[in-house]
Amino acid sequence: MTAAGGKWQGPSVVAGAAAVILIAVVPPLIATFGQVIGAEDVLAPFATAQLWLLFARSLALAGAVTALSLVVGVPLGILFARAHLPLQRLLFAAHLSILFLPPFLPTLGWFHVFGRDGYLGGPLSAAILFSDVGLVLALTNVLLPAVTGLTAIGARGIDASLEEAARVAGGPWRAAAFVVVPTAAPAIALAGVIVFALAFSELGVPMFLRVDVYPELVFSRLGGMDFAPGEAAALALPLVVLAAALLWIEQRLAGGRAVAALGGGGLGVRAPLFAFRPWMLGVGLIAASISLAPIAALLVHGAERGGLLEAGRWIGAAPVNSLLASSLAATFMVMAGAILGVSLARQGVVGVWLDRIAVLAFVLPAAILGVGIAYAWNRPATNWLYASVLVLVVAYVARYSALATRTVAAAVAQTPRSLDDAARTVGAGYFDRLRLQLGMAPQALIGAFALALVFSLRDLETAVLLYPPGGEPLTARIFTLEANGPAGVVSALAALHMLITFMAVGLAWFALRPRASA
Amino acid sequence: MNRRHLLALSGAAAAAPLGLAGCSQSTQGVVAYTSVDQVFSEPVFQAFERQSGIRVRAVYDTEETKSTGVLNRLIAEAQNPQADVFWSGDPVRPFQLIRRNLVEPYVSPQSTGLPDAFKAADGTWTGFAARARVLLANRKRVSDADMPRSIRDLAAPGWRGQTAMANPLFGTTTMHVGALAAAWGEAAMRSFLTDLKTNGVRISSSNGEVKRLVVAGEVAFGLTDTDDANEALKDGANVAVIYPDQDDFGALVIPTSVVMLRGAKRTEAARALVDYLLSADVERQMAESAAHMPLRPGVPTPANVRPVSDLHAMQVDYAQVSDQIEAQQDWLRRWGGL
Repeated sequence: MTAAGGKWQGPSVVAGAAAVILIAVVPPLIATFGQVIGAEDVLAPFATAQLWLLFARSLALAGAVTALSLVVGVPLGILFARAHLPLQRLLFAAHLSILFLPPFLPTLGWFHVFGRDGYLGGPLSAAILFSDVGLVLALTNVLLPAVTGLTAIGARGIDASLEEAARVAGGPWRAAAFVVVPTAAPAIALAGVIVFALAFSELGVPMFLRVDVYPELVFSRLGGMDFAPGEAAALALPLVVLAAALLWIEQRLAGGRAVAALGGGGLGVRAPLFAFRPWMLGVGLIAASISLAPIAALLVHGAERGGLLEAGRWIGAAPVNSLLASSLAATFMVMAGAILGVSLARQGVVGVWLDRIAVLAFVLPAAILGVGIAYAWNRPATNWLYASVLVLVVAYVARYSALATRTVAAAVAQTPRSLDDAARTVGAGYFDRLRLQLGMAPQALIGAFALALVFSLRDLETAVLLYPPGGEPLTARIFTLEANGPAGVVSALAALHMLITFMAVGLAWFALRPRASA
Repeated sequence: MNRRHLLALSGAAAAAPLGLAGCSQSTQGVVAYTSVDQVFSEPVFQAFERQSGIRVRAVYDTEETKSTGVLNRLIAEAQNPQADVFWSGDPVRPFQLIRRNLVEPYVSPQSTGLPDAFKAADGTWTGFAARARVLLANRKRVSDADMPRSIRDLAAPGWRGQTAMANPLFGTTTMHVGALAAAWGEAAMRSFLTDLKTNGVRISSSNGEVKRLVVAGEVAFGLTDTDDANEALKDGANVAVIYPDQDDFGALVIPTSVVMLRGAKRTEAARALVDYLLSADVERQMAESAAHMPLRPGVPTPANVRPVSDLHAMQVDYAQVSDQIEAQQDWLRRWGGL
């Protein structure tokens, strides 16, 4: 490589990575918001108090879910990360498992438990379930593991010497309160932002529990009889402001950086902060149980009706479709995310602006993005993409690329920039410096791939609008069969979905894990 | 990640889409979109595949967006149609497509045995295998003496907060509201819906959800479709199915309907599928699996399926119902707080 060629290495690779995100995200956004221009009276709904009350109500509900998730999830994450706990990995995996499912399914499980005729149900429990309180609890149940998981990563990534010093000076509790939590605060902030965004944009659970939320207002313009994408796009405009607000809040909590730092260098073996106490095992068991309980309820309900055995008849090629689209999308997201994440972590202009665009796509209701993709890509010239599984790949990259990029960025942000500067000074090329930075955050790519894969596999709301004829993914099949399908089939397919996700993440970890020779 | 890894990954990632896209370019088979529950429609498609050797690549609706999700996808794809055939769960959605010039008229030879009231003479749509709107009551919560007999009972003060119906912005409930507006007039329909709201009727996300709420005893009774009610009976639920308003204006009958789409890329296969769907054999299959009432005379029905001839049906003009549905959307959204 000549010096001139080396000079263009970085910009060329960054441009390639940026193209992946831009191609996935920008055309649907332009197509969607372009509908606003041609539509009549699209801004009229904003003049009604009803709209803003609904928006405020959704903010309050998402805020409650976020607050509850943080209050429970932060101590839980520290416990899982820094306590000596028997069966720690098993309990942690069980606790995280609920995150693998579309939120509607666990809520259906809770309905079988706490509905009026549920296993533990009665009029009071049913009244609570079908209320704002029920919605907050159901969504917290599903999203809590995001806080636990990110807090655990943050807590394990801090400098061991700091923790050790604090422990010597004031014991484990003070060390946790005054060193671990503050140091992991950026990771906790990121978790809060993710939970808030997911809680705010959730549609299936509020519709099931009959709680009116703002995304339903947007959806009613796309799923109702008078298909009005222009109105829907106009109604999504406040979400652009919301996305900007979330980014601003996160940046403030992350100390002015473009992204929170998660850590990653401290994930090796170290002495636990807390010695084992029986109550800790109890807490771990409860955390695992509240994730597994609704899934178990689904399975029991299905088994009681003899539908589990019928699952094979209904499964079709859905698991293959899911894995194909999701793994390809996750590969694209990690490739782009590895490069853009480094740029974002170093506050590069390209990384920062692409992150803003990707976060907007993450916060927008899935239906808006889905319709935008249909408008942007359903043309004779691009039929090869739209009519194939590739349309799901585009949809997943558009919706979830922010997660992969930010996971990489958060890990890289923890590493010292001076090393990169030193490498540059001695004439290291772009790829050498990229390798150096990613090498210092070895879990970043695994984490990014796992997150991208999990969220793509669990996606329902985008996929169901776009899946190619005959190529439905497993989540879409579960939901289309949910209408009058044998009771056990939905439960069995949900369990299978979790199993596939665990296996896929396990395989990804095995393939990408850092090796001694690396 | 070094340059070699990146190039290898880029190559693999670039090659995979080309292979996948190549697989997608098939002009074989037929593409069908349907808002009929997958659990009922997929076996019909599979039977067609076995009989004809033509592969059906299908897109199904979810319960929450039933009838409108797939319909809106067809509208969004109008610039480059993907589907050849639309099998609708009701006869009014096709009118949305007809108005947008998205339908290719086709008079199937199989349609000759079907009553004129359930098909368009120009072949734009043809109805078959029908459902009816029914009240589903939980026998533990409603005694035989108190069984509702009319949809007006949903607004009865004695049942305040104890009944359910699906969101009228989606699914067959949309059609029911449109039919009431056509039959009673707009003002009476709106007054009725306002009464329902005042009476605390629980608005659920779908008819299947209404069934679930009734079976679980969350509500005493609810308004749903015969296929949902039949599933509750098949599950052994302690429920009663009431065909409403048999002494008054009648129960709404909702045939499924099939249309061929303009721009269909696989015309011959599409015609073969339409012919098959309109056959007596499919009406029989739908009666057995989904409790749909055959519209063609002489098709045997299981004991749990009430023949359409035994039913006092609402007299409706489906085109007029479709007009009413469009006209009422804004008001319905406000009614629902959206």
